[in-house]
Amino acid sequence: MKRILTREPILAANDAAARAVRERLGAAGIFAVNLIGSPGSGKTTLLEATVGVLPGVRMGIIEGDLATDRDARRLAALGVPAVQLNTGSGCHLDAAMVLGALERLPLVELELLFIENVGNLVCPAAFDLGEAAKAVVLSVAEGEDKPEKYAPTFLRAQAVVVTKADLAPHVGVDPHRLAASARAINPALVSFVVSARSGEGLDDWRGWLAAKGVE
Amino acid sequence: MHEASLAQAVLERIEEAATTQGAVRVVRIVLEVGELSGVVPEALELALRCLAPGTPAQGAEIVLVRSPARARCAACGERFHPSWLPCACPRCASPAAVLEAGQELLIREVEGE
Repeated sequence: MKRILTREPILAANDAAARAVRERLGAAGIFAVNLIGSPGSGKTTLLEATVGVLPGVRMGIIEGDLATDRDARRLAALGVPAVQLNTGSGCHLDAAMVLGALERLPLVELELLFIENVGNLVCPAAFDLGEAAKAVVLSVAEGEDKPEKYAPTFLRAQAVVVTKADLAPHVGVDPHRLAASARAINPALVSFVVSARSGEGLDDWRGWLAAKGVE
Repeated sequence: MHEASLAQAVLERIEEAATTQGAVRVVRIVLEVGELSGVVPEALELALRCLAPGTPAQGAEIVLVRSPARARCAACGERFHPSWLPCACPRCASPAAVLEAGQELLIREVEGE
């Protein structure tokens, strides 16, 4: 009997693909954000609103879903280069998929890339996609206890965007308390409270992206 | 349910290592799963058992080691075990803890013959 493997990350192959993504994005001077959140948390709507408040920024988008190209079409309709990835039954994107999607984007023209992950608050967090930052998207309607219930995702993120703030009075959740409960899990999280419908908070979100060298 | 993807990654890596090192059969697989990694060890083991047939890992003993989380209080330096997050320091009650361990996802060792 002999030892054929010793102490290495389970996701070593994904990590290698993520390094390749990071190198390509770095060479092109692109800041990439991996958006993670439950189905219906408002990820695509946040992206539509972000396109609206960053009119001069050359943005590209990779959309992840089990099926349909609906999200990519929503963003392409706004004039943004958008690539749809369909995972079939896969619950997350991995770095090899993103590496393939980069081939279908005009990288030299871009400065900001959003990767909208498959709607899921658990699995996507384990897979480095080569992004510069992970942002968790969480709507007020999901309830204040979600950061505590889904702590690993919040631990690995740099930002949390609390969406649908306009619904807060109707669902009885204080969006700022929701943001605070996420920061209790990970004190390094930068938090935003936004409403794509009313425009509330989008300035702060834009300011954070701008501080990352975009705009 | 990304445990199936993780199992697939483990089996592909084992197949590659078995081929390059001339092992015909894998005897033992030891994986380490951090308490706060977001992975359910039982689900990972089940996925490995379902996906192993037809690979060199078929029939191998599978051992999953759950590695404990460890936090250090940013205020007083106390090291403690956080059972889940958020966690307060058991000595000074500060909520500012730095997670030092618990997110591991490792192939610890694989033995073949």
